Amino acid sequence: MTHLVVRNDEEQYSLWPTGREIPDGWHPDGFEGTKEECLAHIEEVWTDMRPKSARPA
Amino acid sequence: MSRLSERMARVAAQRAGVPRRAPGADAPLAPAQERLWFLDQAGLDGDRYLCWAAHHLTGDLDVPRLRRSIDELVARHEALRTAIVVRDGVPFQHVAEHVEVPFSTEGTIEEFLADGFDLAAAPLLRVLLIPYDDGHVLAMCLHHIVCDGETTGILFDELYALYRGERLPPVQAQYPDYAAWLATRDTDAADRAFWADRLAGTSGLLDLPLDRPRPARPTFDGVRRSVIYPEGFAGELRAWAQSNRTTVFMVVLAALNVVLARLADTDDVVIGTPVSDRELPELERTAGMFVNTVALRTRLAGNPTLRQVVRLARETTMTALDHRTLPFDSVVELTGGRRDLSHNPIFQVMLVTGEPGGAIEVAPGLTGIAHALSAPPARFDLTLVVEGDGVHIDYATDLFDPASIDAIGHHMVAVLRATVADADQGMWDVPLQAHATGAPAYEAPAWEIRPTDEPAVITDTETVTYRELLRRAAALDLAGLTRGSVVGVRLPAGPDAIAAIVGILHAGGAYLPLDPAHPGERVEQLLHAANAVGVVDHDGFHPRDHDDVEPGELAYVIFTSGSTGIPKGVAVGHESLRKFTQAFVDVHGFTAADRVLMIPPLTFDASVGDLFPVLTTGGALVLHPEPARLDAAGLLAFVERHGVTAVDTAASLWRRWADELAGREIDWPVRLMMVGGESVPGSAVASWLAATGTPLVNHYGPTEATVCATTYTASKPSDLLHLPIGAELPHVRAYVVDSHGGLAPDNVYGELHLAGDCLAWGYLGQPGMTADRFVPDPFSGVPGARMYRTGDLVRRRLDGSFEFAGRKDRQLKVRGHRIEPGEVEAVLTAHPAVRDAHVTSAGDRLVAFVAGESDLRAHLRERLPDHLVPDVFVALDAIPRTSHGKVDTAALPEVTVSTPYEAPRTPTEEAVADVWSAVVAGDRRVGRRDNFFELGGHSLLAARVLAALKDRLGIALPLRALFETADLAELAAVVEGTHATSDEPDLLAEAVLPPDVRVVSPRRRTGRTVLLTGATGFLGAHLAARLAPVSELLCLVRADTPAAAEARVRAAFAAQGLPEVRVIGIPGDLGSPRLGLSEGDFASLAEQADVICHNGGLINFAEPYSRLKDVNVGGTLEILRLSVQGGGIPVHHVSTLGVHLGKAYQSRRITEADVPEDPAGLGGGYNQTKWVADRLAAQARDRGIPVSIHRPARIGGDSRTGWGNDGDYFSRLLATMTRLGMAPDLPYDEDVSPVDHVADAIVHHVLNGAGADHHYFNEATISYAEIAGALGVRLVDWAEWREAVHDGLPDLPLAAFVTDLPEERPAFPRPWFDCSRTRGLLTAAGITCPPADRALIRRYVEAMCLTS
Repeated sequence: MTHLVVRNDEEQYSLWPTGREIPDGWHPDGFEGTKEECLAHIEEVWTDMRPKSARPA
Repeated sequence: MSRLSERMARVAAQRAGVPRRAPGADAPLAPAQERLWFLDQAGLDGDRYLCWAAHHLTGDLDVPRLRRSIDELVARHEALRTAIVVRDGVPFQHVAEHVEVPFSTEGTIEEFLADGFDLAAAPLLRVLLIPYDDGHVLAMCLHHIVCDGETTGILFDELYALYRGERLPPVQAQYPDYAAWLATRDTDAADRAFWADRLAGTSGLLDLPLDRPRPARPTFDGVRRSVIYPEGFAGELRAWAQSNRTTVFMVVLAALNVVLARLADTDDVVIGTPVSDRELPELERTAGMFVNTVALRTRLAGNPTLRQVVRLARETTMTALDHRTLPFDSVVELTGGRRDLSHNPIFQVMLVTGEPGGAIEVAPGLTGIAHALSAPPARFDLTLVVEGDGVHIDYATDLFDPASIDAIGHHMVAVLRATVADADQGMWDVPLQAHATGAPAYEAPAWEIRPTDEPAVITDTETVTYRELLRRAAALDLAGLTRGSVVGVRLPAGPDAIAAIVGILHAGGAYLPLDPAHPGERVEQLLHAANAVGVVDHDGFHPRDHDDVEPGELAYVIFTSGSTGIPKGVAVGHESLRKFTQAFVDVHGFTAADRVLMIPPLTFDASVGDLFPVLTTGGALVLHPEPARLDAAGLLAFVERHGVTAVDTAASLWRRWADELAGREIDWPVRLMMVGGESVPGSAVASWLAATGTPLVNHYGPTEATVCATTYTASKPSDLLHLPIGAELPHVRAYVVDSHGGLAPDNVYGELHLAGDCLAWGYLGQPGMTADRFVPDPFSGVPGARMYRTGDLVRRRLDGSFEFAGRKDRQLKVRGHRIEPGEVEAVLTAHPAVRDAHVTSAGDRLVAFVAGESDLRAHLRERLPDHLVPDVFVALDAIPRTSHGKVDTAALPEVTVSTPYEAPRTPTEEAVADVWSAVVAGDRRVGRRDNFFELGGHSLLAARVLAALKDRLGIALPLRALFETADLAELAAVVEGTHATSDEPDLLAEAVLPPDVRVVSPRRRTGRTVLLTGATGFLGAHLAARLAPVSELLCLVRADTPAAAEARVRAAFAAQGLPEVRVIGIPGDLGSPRLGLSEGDFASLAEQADVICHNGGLINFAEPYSRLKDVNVGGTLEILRLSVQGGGIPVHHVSTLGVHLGKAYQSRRITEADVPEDPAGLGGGYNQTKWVADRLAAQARDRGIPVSIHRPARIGGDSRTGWGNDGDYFSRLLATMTRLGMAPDLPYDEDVSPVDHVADAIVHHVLNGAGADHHYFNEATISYAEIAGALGVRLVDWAEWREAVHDGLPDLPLAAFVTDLPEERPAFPRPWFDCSRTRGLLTAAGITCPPADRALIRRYVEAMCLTS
């Protein structure tokens, strides 16, 4: 079973099982792989833990 | 023609019909009856397996005519006159010629149905006729063992026909004939193979979410709930089934599979359904029990569509029906494994089709209509009855509340409607009723702390006002921090720490609480991980080097250890903190009047739940210098001193207070007790409320969801084992997620996911871990929302509160039972001798690793349900744990799933093992850790085992003892704890010679034909070897033919190193009437024999009297009868000096003239039987038989060759001494009479006439010192010997006789046997006994070495 790396408008990352309807407000960031691969990818790309709304305007 | 009906026709064609059995003959039970009989015997309310039906009759009823019709009905059907009689543990159907049917015209239907039946008394039928409405209710109640659902229909039909005066055709085949005929059929190997394969790997228990824990013994109380289809749906369902070429039954079965799979979160569902076995036309109108149950197992792997599930259900049903004749009980046997009385084996949910009702014309002017009766006993967890208009659910009230059953009914309707609406949706995608989750939006204003002169922080030493607190906060001078900069607080909880937190937040920073007791290195690690800009300690703020801070609305960072032990910095933003603070204020009603005792340290986020709700509402935080050491007395004083109104603490500390306050009644200002951190036992809540009256609020929540997500307020005592964790706070959404990622219905276990405005940002510096635990929320509809996977298993009850069921990754399933290992561990570690424990599973066994005392079954059995009692206990010095205190599972020893063989240790265990081996294990070796059912035992064998145990040990055990004990050792312990049902045999009464043993016409004997019994024994072989050359020797031996008998005697010669001599074999059996001979053979033997040497018998020192009686007493009686038949053939009876071991003779001088009259104190069945036989033989003298009684003591090996009976005690004792190189220093001497001497002596008397008694005790005894000398071994004290023997068992030769030696050195209080008369007679005949001396002992041991 593979997963997609997904990101929301708060620029938070997570993963979602491939083939299932992606919940509203989440967008694939283009990476697909095993869970471990996805998490490793996220480790690379998610550099700012602040939700977008919690950053200064 | 369907495959099924083809098969039925084929089967029917093969059958030649049911023959009539012999008139009046009893019939065996049909398999279905055996099962019911077994349930009755097992005390499983088998007497309550009833069939009933009732009609409401209106019109003119002629009661006498009705009663006559009942009598005629009963006369027609043998089943209605059948009782179950038991002979030798085997049940039979016995048909009475005439029975009186109980006919009652009073009482209520409930009373009529309340009682069971005594299966031994016919009829198993009763009738009730009571006035009802404008007419009557006529009810029939039968035991299921003679009846089934169709039978009740047949009986009412025929009853009314008889009432109308119609002549009925005779019953074509009677049920007992059917049962007798069934017994002649071969069991169907193909069916067995099918079911073994079909059910392989089922857990045997569908883990439905229950409202109450499953009791070990169900009450079978049942209630019915009904769900009626929405208007018009019944028609839609029928139409859908028709257009999909299936039946409503299949669609309902499929829906039930879906609902059960989702309730139990499984893809493997087994459902039972009844099938009738009236395959032959002549059985169609026969009354009786024809119903079998088949198990419908459906595998639902993946997420099949509803249409696919219907197809699977159909396939399952069709293949099951093809193999429906194998009785369900046999199917249960095939699945093997341990039986569990708490639930029905294999399946716990039954699906049946209901009976259509309608008015019947009973007779002109009399009509009847089915009258609904109460739900039958709940034999299953759930029984679904499918009727046209809806679904009825009969359920076990032990397990379920009505609301939960209604929910299941609604799930059924939901799935059925989904099937009709869109059968191509996945079975896990059908929405099932679940609680609405959380309010959509929850507003919380920004919080502020107002500078008043009210106290903000109170300790024993100071009270700090808000104004002062804010002054101290400002004094930290942190202005200019980048927003969201992390600042460490390395201070103990107190006014300064709280001022620091307020100061950091006011300056726009986020605080990181640090444990002041932690070493600097660890503190620096955390500061580094959080990129802290500085730290506040008691000297003020210290900046530190850090990376650039990206500004943000971060409120605090709290490190948690997590399951991996690596600290995770949970970053919580202001939005979550604000919403949480508001929610807590609202839920707890905090005001400026509150004074809240904060027990958790600042490094636990529970403290956040006190700090902000209190400071923002103007109440006071109260702090204790050493909260963890606060006992109840200290708490009371402290609370009184400071006017505390609310307390927040860990559940563990609260439990201590609750225990200490139990039974007291206190009056205090505390209005609210908040606890969290671990589960709260319901019992402690009750005593707490009784003592304090203060409501207890249970807080649940991970740090990742900001302090607390759900709360439960207990203001009334609860009968729950653990307090629920309650419902979500208003800013929280909580979901129970099933294994397919969907929402689990209410009541169903799943992983708790938290969402809403409560989530942390994530783990600082660990984006991968954050993404893994905080996942997209597909349920809220809020775009881009996340939810946190808690890893906690919960379910939402119908009242909306969550029940916590443990950590998901620790859940175990053992034989279908969901097990929270922590629960077992808690009980284990509560035992004073247990230091630590870890519970896990291996295969289908629950395994406990225990540091300390490990034999804790009894301890656990008293405190836990059976399925929580581990099957395997592994004792360890310590449970291996990592540096973080987690169990190091890799370092645990591997547990082998198969039980290692442990030899039986006690005579009782050996007896049980023998019985199990013979009855269930096909003579395989049986050990003390074996389980009856795993050996292949089943219900009917259980009855046989108990009969055999009763026979052998004289103990009658209830059938359930076999179920309630985990292994052989436990059963043996039950046996030992049970008193013999029959007291010790009344030996004096036993020793009365029957009047028929009397010589009527004496005959003189001149020939030299000797009859010898027991020629294959040790002494017997020596007797035969001496008698055969000087007589015609007849040897009565257990064998099938004379040749076989002779071969056995020859084998005995060879075994003893004796020369082969010719004997005449007589196959017979001492334990049977006429010695097992035909009347003719018995008479001719009496004609032939001139003298009898009766030496045969069972020598066994472990068996009770009852087991030895037939051979040892009965055999002697038959020998005496043989003598009588032969006109008084002289009898030489070989007895034993053991008959003098009773109390009356201890330490007395005993000569041949002393009659062993008093058996009191004779221990063991062997000496008892020998005493009775000895007395009978003595009495026979007065009835005209010349009798000599020969009483040897210990008989040893041949004095010339040394050859002996290697298997006897003394030989094994000598062998053991040799092996161990030591001999015990016992205070008595051993006597040994060599077998050649005893045989010479007895043969001398046999050949020279009978009449006197002879004793063979070798007075030249040998001491243990001499034995030691003879063997060349050390003479050691008893303790050393005992230890060496214990260490050496079970490999020592003595193991067959000894399992446990007493601590005290044994004594042997035997009489002094003065055998001078025997000796004198023998000496005169030139026969002398060699002394038991060193030379003899040495010869014995040498011979043993040679032969072994």
